[in-house]
Amino acid sequence: MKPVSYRDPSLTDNAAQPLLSVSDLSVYFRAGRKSSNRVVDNVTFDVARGETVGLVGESGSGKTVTGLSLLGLLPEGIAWTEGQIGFDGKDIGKMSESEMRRLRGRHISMIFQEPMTALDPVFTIGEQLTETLRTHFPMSKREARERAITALEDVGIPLPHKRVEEYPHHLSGGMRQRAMIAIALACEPDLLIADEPTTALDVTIQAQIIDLIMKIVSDRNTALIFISHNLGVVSQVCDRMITMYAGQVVEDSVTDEVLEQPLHPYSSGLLASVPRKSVSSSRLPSIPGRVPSPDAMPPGCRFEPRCTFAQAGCEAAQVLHRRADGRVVRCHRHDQLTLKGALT
Amino acid sequence: MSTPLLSVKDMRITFHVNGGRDQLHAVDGVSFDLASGESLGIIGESGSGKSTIARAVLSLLRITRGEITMEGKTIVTPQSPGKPGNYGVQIIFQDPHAALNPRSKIIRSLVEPLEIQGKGNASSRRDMALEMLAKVGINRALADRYPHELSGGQKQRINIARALLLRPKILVADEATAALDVSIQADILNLYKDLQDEFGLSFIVITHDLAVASYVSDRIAVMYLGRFVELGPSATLATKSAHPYTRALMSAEPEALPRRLQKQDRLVLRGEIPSPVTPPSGCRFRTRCPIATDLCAAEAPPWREMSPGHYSACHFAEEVMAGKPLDGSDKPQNLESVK
Ligand SMILES: Nc1ncnc2c1ncn2[C@@H]1O[C@H](COP(=O)(O)OP(=O)(O)O)[C@@H](O)[C@H]1O
Ligand SMILES: Nc1ncnc2c1ncn2[C@@H]1O[C@H](COP(=O)(O)OP(=O)(O)O)[C@@H](O)[C@H]1O
Ligand code: SF4
Ligand code: SF4
Ligand SMILES: [Mg+2]
Ligand SMILES: [Mg+2]
Repeated sequence: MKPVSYRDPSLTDNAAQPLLSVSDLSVYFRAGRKSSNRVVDNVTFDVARGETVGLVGESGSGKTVTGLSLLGLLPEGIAWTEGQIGFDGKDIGKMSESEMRRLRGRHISMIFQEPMTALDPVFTIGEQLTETLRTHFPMSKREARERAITALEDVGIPLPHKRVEEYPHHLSGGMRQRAMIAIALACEPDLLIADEPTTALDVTIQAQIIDLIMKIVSDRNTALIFISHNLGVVSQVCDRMITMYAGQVVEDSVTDEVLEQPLHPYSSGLLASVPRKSVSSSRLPSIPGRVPSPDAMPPGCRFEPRCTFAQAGCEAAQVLHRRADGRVVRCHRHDQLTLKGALT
Repeated sequence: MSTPLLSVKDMRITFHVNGGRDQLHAVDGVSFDLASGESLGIIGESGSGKSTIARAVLSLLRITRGEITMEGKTIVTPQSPGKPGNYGVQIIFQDPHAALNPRSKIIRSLVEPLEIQGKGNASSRRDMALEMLAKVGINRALADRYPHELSGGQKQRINIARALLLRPKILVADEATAALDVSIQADILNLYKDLQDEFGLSFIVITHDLAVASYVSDRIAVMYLGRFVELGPSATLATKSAHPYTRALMSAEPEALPRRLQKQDRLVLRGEIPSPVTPPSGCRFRTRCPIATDLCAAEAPPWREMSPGHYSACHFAEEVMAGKPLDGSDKPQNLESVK
């Protein structure tokens, strides 16, 4: 087989510039005839080449919508975005649909919790893989088929030459997840967005899939945005962790720093409510109340109604503070509070 | 010893599959006792038979062999299935929407089971329901709302209230917090503990999340392909497990800890759970067990008591309990290394 160069010569490969640079991204959904809800609010973060970034937060905090907007996959007509999404120096928001199509699968790919959202039930795994490969690279059907088999082998699917002929519903849940990963990674994208890819799996299969994703992204220096509500998984997979609450980034720090010493009361609350094997009899701390709905956002700090540290000043809208230590937090009390982490 | 509250003896549950051609023993010789006020966790991968045990304990299906007794009285045998809801066992499921009628107000879903059981009159039933809502931490004002107006956590509390109104002795929770956010899950797990204290309620907590099981259970049973492979006090299983499968499950579960404190020697099991229609010979775990030998294929390991109340079905239970490495290396693996 002749080697395919997966490196795209048009990529600048400028190490000084982040691969992905999201600034002031807001996402609106139409709600009724004249109104709309802003469900993602001025989200700003960068992802460097090869970096692994976790996106955590309770359901409804805007993680999936953020991920979809990076690929231009929001439902057309009812959702729209504001702000910039720079990918390798180009603004994704200004790209045409055909430019986006060239980017998707080739430079940015996404995998989901439920593999059947990405797999097409009427085509074999092999057909879906060769289709993806041939869309982005000039290659013969035969060559694409051989690469499809290699791609399945890379994700640990046994008997790949048999599996290419099979339809998604013939595979077990874990194998379908692997097949979806094979398709997403077939063109060796620069950025993989994984949205709760192990949430529906048993811990044993979850461990296999995590190992697989970590191995492939590190071998290929692929950047990873790993969306999950499971802080255990994120602490294993990700160098950095971004906590979202009610559509906003509330903390962005190196994973180990958040675990040892969170800066935002919400990050701390999430960490405390995870049951741990080592601790048993004590009561689990929980966060009172619930995530506000997009049409009834508190005017000040969005976490204020649930925050045990709220005081004067919290009724004002909070901005992101960029601290001298490089950590980012949306809470004006960040340097007054000493919050509980995973070890305290 | 006093008579256990619930006793399941050598239970087998067989389904006929593939158009009746094949037999599938979803539960194959399971025995356990549950004491009054005790909480038993059942863990294991999906397909291992946990929900089938739950449905049997509720008399929602017919058992093929064995018997279930409640306070010494036989209530379920293969010949005479028990009457669901009649002997003090109630269940809550993973999907909080499933048990609530979307077109009825919450109060309706709560009083309905009481009506069916002919308890009290209309006004006393309403009072009982409102009182129970308060006990599970739901504002009375929500009684006249519809399910879609409530969050998942609130609905799960209402399901618990609904089950408790029938004054069960045992509440079975089948993955009841699996779909909830961690903070909401924490509330529900705390509620389990309160109910244990306040009503002396017993629990069977079915979960694939080991940390959840350890948090709420006095004892844990580990299930694989229709059988219990280990059973013992939660703390013992966490630190001195005597079965490779339990150790693999513990090892696979990622804990939210900084890198320097994460397990370095994480054991990742190969493959997936085999079909229960054609289980492996001998030890059913042998096709995935990292330390299986010829003996494991030839003979099913007996269920042995390793220390008081701690049982394991593994030919090499002693070695595993002593920290035998499961990755083919010879350095001993200490389960307590992560602290
Ligand atoms: N298709 C949609 N139409 C309207 N609102 C939506 C749609 N998809 C998501 N939302 C809203 O956007 C918010 C963020 O959702 P999502 O990104 O799915 O959260 P997460 O992934 O963090 O659980 C939620 O309030 C959700 O209701
Ligand atoms: N009604 C049924 N008919 C046939 N097979 C069933 C039925 N219910 C469960 N099974 C099978 O029994 C086994 C155990 O299932 P279950 O008790 O649901 O496992 P778990 O709850 O541990 O995931 C599985 O192989 C499942 O496919
Ligand atoms: S701004 Fe105030 S209310 Fe908001 S998280 Fe900080 S302390 Fe809590
Ligand atoms: S009996 Fe053998 S195969 Fe089964 S768990 Fe023990 S060592 Fe592994
Ligand atoms: Mg989501
Ligand atoms: Mg089940």
